[in-house]
Amino acid sequence: MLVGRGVHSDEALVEAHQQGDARAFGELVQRHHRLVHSLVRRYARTPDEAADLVQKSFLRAFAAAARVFPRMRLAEPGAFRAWLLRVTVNVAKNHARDARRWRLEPVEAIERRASETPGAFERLQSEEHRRRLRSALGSLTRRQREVFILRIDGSLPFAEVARTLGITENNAKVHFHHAVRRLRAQLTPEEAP
Amino acid sequence: MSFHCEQLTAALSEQAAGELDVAEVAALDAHLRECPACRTEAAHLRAFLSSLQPAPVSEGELTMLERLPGRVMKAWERRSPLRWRIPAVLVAAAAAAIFTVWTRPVRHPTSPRAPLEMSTDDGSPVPFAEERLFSLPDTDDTSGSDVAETDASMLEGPGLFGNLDG
Repeated sequence: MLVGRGVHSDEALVEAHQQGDARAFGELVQRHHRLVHSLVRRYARTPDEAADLVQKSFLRAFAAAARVFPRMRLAEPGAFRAWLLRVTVNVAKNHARDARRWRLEPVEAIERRASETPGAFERLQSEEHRRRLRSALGSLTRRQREVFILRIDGSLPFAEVARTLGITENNAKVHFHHAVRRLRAQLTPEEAP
Repeated sequence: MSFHCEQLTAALSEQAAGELDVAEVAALDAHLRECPACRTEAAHLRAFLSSLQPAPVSEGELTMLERLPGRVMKAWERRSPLRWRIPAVLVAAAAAAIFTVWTRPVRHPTSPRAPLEMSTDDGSPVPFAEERLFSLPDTDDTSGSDVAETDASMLEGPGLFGNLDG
């Protein structure tokens, strides 16, 4: 058993998990759940829904372990994390695809809630901004959205964004540039160049 | 260090996150001094990038995050026994099929039927079933191994996990 004997790489834990060490899975979840949560959070309406998406991401990543991990170059540092993040981005994307989750709330209901509690108007404004941003994210290309989520929501450096997606760092930066441009054109059309 | 206008957005995002080193900050500043378009753009972009940041994590989310690893572990434990039980059942069924085919009596159309009982060295009768189980057929019949290969190949392929990589 590997867990409990010092700090091990993700890849060593994946191998231990495949050899039947159940604690290795727990260690990997403990290590990455906050990052995975940050990637799906924007697409969830409630904390519980975000937790569901995190759980789904881990289960999907590990359910495919028997098929994917042996082929994966696990000796390469970061291979597991990149795989997990790619699965998570897909889980988030699929969740967002269901347009019914982003149903517009009737204006009367928003105004009523805004008048009920102090500071509620500002909160609703930022809620509305986030809703519009989520909607605008749907207009990005797949690659632009992946780069955006990993960079903005995951706060990953461009080098890791590039490694996760299997592209060059410069390419990741260019995708980010175009993603932000497109979002800006939709969200603040009066400002956009 | 050269700087292109297309790198401005990424550079401003990196600068806001404190990821630029001294040389990179100097290159960005130099570019902004030389390029009026980027200079105008930078102010708007900084504000816009800041508006893209996700909302701060709430108390409820912090509580949920503490419980999250346990929840994921439980879900995996609930799920994995079934996942592994199905292939195990298939393997057991394949093994049973191979065993059945391997131990099936071989009939020789031209040879007379085997007697129900045979004598051993000491003259005691050998039960029919025992003779059948422990004597190999003296023909070139390989149907048993063919079936074994067929059964084994049925277990190959994409497997039960299917395309689950999201």
